[in-house]
Amino acid sequence: MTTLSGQAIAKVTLEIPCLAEYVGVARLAVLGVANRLPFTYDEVEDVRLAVGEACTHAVERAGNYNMSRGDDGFGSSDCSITIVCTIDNATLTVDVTDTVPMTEDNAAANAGDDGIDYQELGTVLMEVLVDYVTFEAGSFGTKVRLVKTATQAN
Amino acid sequence: MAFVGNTVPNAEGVTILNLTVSTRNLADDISVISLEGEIDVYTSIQLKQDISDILEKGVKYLVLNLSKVEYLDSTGLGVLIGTLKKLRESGGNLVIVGPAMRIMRIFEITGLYKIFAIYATEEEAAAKEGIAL
Repeated sequence: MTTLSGQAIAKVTLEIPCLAEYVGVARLAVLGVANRLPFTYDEVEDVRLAVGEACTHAVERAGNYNMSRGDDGFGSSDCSITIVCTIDNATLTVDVTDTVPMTEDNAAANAGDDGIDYQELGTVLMEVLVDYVTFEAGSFGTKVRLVKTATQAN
Repeated sequence: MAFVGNTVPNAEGVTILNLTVSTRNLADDISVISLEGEIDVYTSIQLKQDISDILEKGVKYLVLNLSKVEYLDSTGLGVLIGTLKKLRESGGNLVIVGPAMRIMRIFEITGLYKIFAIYATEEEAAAKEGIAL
């Protein structure tokens, strides 16, 4: 696949279990991919944090889904997160798609036992850190698309 | 000192840790917690428990040194907000010290810099908050 300017579009895919201990793996992989683009140090860090938040969002919903079934509330080894990074010139698109079933429990139970809505905080961070964010929920789970273009591209 | 996270031997056989929590008591009701590493969805659960254990001992003023924290996400922010709420309800306070620019930016993006007392150094925090180090 190539862009209009003839440059190749590169794609990197990573699949991790929907567990808290693997979110760091996703952040590390995306850090490596983002370093391939002409991003500044801060922009690379922005992408890393935004992807971490998208994965965290999935892990928290998986935890809520597990608790609704009476299991442990710390992610779910039954679910996975797929991170697809697409490099197109100076633009990085990261699709974070989870397989956490959407139920009333995990759609509504955002606030922790201390009343703090972690997912809302995460959403605010994602919206500020990248240029474009979309959320899509369906029978497959949830997909978060994060798009960021390097400011020093030219 | 407590360690949170996986212990993974690297090429030199040294253990890499996600988050190190070190606590220093200045008085019966004042403690300094120094954190080193990453505060994320994995480590924040244990951090929340560690802080809860300290508060149960009667600590009302907590100085949280973040100068060696390399990563902070929304779950980490949640732990800090929850701790601040608990301490203020008991007439105490949570003071944050030494966040790097990247970490400070997260407080700015979320507007949380307005509700936390944030200082560059422990000495500055002690002087402004009237705490003896």
